[in-house]
Amino acid sequence: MSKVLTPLLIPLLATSIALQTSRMAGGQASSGSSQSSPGSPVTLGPVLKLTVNSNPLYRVSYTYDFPGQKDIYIRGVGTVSPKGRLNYLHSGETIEFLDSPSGNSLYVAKLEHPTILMGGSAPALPDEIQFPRESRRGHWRGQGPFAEKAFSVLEQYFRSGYRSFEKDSSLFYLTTYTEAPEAADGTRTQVSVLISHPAKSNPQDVAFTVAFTARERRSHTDWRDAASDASRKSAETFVDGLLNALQR
Amino acid sequence: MKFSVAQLWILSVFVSSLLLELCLTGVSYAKNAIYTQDLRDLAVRFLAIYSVPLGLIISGIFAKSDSSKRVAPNRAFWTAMALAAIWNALILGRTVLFTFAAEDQVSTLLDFITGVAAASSFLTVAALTYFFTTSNDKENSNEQSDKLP
Repeated sequence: MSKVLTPLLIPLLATSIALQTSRMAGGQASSGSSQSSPGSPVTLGPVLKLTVNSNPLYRVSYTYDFPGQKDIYIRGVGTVSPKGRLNYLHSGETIEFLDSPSGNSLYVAKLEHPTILMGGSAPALPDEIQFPRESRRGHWRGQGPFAEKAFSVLEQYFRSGYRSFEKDSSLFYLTTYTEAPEAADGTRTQVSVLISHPAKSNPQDVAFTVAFTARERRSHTDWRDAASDASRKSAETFVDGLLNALQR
Repeated sequence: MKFSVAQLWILSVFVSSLLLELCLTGVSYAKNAIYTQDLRDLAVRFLAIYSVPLGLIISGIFAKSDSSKRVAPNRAFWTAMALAAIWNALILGRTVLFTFAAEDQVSTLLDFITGVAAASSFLTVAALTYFFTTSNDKENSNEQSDKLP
């Protein structure tokens, strides 16, 4: 009997699992599916709502296209090209697009029906107050706006994402933790950086600062503030590399 | 088996287990798997956990002076040994896993040993009370004095 039923049950079971998986994937996509009307200059991808340090944050990804504009200004991001794609952690429920930092509003995208992260853990994002006052200074004089350059570098270095926000006429890019090279004694180090620059500066000539905070752990311990020389050195080497990448 | 010998056997189970756990913690530290602070936290926690049964055992040994003359019931002895071994194996086993795992966390080991030691104290309380409290000593003394001509 079981010999007869087994070949019948296995495909049924496989189909059921496949259906369930596709439903789960579809559930996430549909609840945060593209939120834009036809002809809209902004196409929002899935929006994921996270709670980080007791504050709601939205993981947004969107493409935008504002034909006829030389540059545009996205509140909390900075000056960028009129056409592009961004992916970051946003703290408000709307994203405002302007023609310049203190100019007219071009478009406001509402983050509606976000997918709420249940069960999984949100990425660790340090508080601004965890960063020391000392910071490294850099200068961007390359082609294109600094915000675009910063986002492309951060995407490469910080896979878990970064938060972008505006405060007191300055723009801040606060990253999640990422692994720095392992120290010789086996201590693992993770680094988070806070990049800041003036919101109203020339986007192709920007003086910026990079502050960092690091944490370390050994194979059998919890994370703690980086205190060992090996860990500090590893973090500093990583940040020096990041600073170079931001200025290239 | 004499009562005093039985007591020493039970004592040796607890002491050897504690020493092994402290050694394994030392091994973790030597392997750079934990920090100095964790070494201290773990040693203090192990000593705190063992302070209860070992305090009872050692005070029982010193309190009884005539236990060397009495005979320990075989069944009670082996039951006490088995229960003591289970209690110690729970803590020692987790410590061994911690030491030889590729990755673990001190906080989870501390939670485990604290929780398990408290929840499984029923395994050792009765046996230790039987072998190391003075009431039993008095009973046995009375039994012996009854048998005297």
